[in-house]
Amino acid sequence: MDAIHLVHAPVGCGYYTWGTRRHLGDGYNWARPGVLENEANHRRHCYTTAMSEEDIIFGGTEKLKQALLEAFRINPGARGAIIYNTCSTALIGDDIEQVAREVSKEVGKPVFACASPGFCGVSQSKGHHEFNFQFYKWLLKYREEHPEVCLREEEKTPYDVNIIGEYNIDWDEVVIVPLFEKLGLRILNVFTGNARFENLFRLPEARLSIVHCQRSATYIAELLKQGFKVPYLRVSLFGIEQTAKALRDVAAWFGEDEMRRRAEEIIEEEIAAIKPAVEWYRARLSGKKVAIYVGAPRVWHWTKVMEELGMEVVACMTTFGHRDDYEKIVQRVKPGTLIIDNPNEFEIEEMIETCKPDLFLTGLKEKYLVRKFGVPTLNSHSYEKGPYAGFRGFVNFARDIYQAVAAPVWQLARQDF
Amino acid sequence: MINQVKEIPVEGITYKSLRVKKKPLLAEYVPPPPELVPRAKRAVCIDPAHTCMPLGAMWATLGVHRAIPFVQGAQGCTTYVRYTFSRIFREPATIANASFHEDAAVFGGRKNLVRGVRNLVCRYQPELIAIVTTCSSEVIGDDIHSFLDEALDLMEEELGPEVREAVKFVVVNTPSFAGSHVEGYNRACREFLKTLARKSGEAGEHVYLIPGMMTPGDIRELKHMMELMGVSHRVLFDISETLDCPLVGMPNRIPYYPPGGTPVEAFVRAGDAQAVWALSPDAGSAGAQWLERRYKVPAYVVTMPIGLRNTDHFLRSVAEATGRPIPDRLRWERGILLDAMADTLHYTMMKKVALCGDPDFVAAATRFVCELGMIPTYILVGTKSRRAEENIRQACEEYGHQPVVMNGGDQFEWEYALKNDIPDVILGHSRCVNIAREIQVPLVRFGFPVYDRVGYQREPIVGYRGGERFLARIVNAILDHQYPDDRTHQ
Repeated sequence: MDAIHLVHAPVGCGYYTWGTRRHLGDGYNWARPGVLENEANHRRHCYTTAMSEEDIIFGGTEKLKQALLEAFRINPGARGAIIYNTCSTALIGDDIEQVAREVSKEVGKPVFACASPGFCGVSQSKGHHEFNFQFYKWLLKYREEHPEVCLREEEKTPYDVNIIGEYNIDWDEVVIVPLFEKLGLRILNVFTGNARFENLFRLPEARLSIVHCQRSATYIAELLKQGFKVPYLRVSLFGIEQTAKALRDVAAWFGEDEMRRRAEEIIEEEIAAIKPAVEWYRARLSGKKVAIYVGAPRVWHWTKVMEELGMEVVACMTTFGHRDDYEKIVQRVKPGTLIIDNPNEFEIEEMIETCKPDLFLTGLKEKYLVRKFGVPTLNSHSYEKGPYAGFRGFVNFARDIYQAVAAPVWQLARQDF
Repeated sequence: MINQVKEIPVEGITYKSLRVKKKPLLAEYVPPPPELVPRAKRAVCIDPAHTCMPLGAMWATLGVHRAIPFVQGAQGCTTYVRYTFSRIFREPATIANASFHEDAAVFGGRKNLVRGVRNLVCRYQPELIAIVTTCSSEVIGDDIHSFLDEALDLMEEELGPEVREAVKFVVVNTPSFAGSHVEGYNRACREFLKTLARKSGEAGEHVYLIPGMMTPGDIRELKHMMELMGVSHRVLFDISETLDCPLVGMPNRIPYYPPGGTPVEAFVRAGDAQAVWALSPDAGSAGAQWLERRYKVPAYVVTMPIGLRNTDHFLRSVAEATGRPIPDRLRWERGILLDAMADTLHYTMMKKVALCGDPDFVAAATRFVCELGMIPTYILVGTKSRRAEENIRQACEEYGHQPVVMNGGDQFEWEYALKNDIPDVILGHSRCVNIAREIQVPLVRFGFPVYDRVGYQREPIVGYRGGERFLARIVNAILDHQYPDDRTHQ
C-alpha cells in the first residue's frame, strides 16, 4: 500500500484498476501543506505508461524506465514500486524485469516486476498465483542483496505471525487483527491488505502463517513453509463458529494453556456482545434460500455462515474455483445443491428460474441483472457496508443480508398494479 | 427511550466506529518537481483522464436493440467495462468475450472467435453482434473478417442459411493504444453505418440523431425536443431504454434483453435519412460524415446542446433543415432557462470554475458557464481534440476569458494547477471527487464517468430543461458550500 503501482500498458488497463475495489489502507500522502490526501496512497493515484501506437511499434522499455523514475520523484513517500505488464506489453516483449532492476538500483528502493498479461491464465486466479510465486522469488533475492531488510534476531518474538490472504476489504482487518493480538500474537504482516513494503520483506521471519483466502495466497504460505519452515494454518474468519474455531486452532498450534484460556475468553466475550443481534436477524432470515456466487473460497466459507443464520444454500458458483475449492464446497453443501463453475449470465438466469433463491450473494456486474428478476442481492466482493469478517463483522453481514431481503420493494414489485 | 417505536437490533461496526487513523507517509508536504508537472514533459501518466477505445464501441453497441458486443481479447477487457457500465447505470450490461489464453496469443484468436460467436448466436439469438477488437488481438494481427466468414459458414452448416439474415455483424477495430473511449464510440458509429446502412431510393421520413456518450436522461430530453418540434426522428445508439430499464413489468424470460434500443432496421434505412446530426463532434461525427459522403445525407456536426446558445444552435439547424418552426413550447422552456439564469446570477457571476471531462462535454459546458457569467480557469480535455479546443477558445473569446486549456492532459497536471489556484467550483466527473475534497471546493458532476451519484444518469443536462437542471445543480452546490444560511433565504 505504500508502493507505486505502475501499469505498463495502454491507458485502459491502468484506468480500470484505479479505485475500483475497496481494498483500503491507512498510509496517506500530503495533498497540500497541512492537508492529507483524501484516499490512501495506493488508490489515490493511478500510474500508467499509457502506451501509444508508436510505443507499441518501437517498444516501451525506455518509456517505462523513464516513467518509473519520474513516478518516484513525484511521489517521494513511496517505499517502493510494483510494475505490471499486460497483454499488449507482454506481446511486444518488453523486459520489465530489467527495468525494475535498473530503477531499483538507481533510486535505492525496491522495485518488483510482476508479469501479468491477461491472456496468461483462465482468470484473475492465475494472476494471484503468478504474483505469489514471482513475488516470493524476488523477495528471496532482495533479502539476499539487502540483508538489512530482514528482521534482526533480537527483534523476533516467539509470537510473530503472518496473516496471509487477507485483503482488507472494507476494513476487515480492523476486526481480524485485534482478535489475534488479544491472543498475544504479534502480526508481522498482512499479505497484502494495507501491507507495508518493509513488512513484506519479513514474511519468512514469522513462526506461523495464518491463511485466510486459501485460493489466492496458499501458494506463498506453502513456499514459506518449504523455504523457511514457516508452517501455516488454514482458517475461516466469517461467522461465529468458524471464527471461534480459527482462534482455537491457532491457540492449539502454540499449545500454551494460557493462550487457550485467552481464546476461550475472547470467544465468550465476543459472542456475548453479538448474540442478541445475530439472534434477531436469524429469527427473520431462517428458512430463506440463498445462492452464492463469489471468487472461490468465500463460497465455502459462507455456506457455514448462511447456515448459522438459518438460511438454506441452494446454489453455489465460483468465478475461479479450482478442484480443491469444489471439493470443499461439495463437502459442505446439502445434496441436491446446484453447483456451477464460472457461470455466464445465461446460466445465472437459469439458476434463478430453477432454484428461485430469496437472496443472491454476488458481485457488482451480476447484481443488476438478477434484480431485474426481482431477486435481492448483496455485493459480496467488496461488501455493501463492511467489514463482514470476524465476530462483529458478522453482525454487519447479517444486517446487510436482512436489509436486502426485507426491503419492501420486492413485495411491491410482485403486486399487481 | 423516547420515540423508540420498534426494537432495533444491535448495529455491527459502523464506519465511524472503525476509527482508522490516517498515517502520513512523509513528515511534510513535498511539492512535485515543477518540470514534471506538465503532462507533455512526462513519460508517466498519472490519473488518466480517459479510458480505452473498446469501451466506447461497447457503449454504442449496447444502445442497439438485441445487440451484444463480442470482445476479441482477454477477459479483463470485458469485465472492467462491464464494471464501469454497472457502476454508472446500475443496470446489467451483457457483453461477450473471446477469452484469450496463451494459445490465442501464440496461434491467434481464430478458434476463439469462431466458436465464441457460434455459442453466442445459439444461446442468445441476438439480432446484432459487434466484434470489438482489443490491444492484444490487434498486436497479434487477427484477421477478423476472415474469422467471421468462417464462423458464418460453420453456423450456416449447423443452423441453416437463415442465420445469415437473422444476425448482423459489425466489426469495430479498437486497439486502445490508438485512441480513447471517445474515439472508440466514433469508430463504432462509422463502422455500424458503413456495414449496415443502405439507400433504397425512397425518401425516408426520419431525421437521425447520433447522441455520443450522453446519458439516458439526455437522450430522452433530445427526443422530447424533437417531439415538440414535430420532427420524426430516430436516435442511433439509444441507450435510454437499454441502460435504464424498469424493474416492474419486466418479462420474466431468459435470456434477459432490455426492451429498448435502436432497431437494426434504423441503421439499414440510414441511407434514406432526411438529415443526420452528430451531437458530439468527437463521438459520432465520423458516422454522420460517412453518411453524407456515401449517401449524400446532409450531416450537421454540432456542439453538444448544453446551455442556451448551444441548444439554440442545434434547434435552429433542425428548424432550417426540416423547415419546421421552433414551437412556442420550446421557446417557453428557453424562457424558463433564461429566467433561472437571471434569478441566480448573483451566485454564478465571476465565480471561478475549473472543468474536466471528455471533449464534447467540456467544450459545450465551457460555453454554458460563460453564459452564466462564470470564469473558466483550468480546462482539462481528457482526450486530445482540436475541435473541442477551438470551441472552447471561441466561447471564451466571446466572453473575454483566457483559461488554461490542457488538451489531452492527465488529471495530475490539472489537479496541481487547481491546488495552486483554487477555483470556486469544479465541473467534472466522479474521478474529481478527491481533488474537490482536498481543496474544499464543491464538485458538480457531469460527463463520463459519474458513478457515485444515484439518478445522475436520468437527469438531463442537454436542452433548455436540462440546462435549467444543470444550472440548479451548480448553484445549489455553491450555496451548500460557501453561503452562510442567513444569506440563502431570500
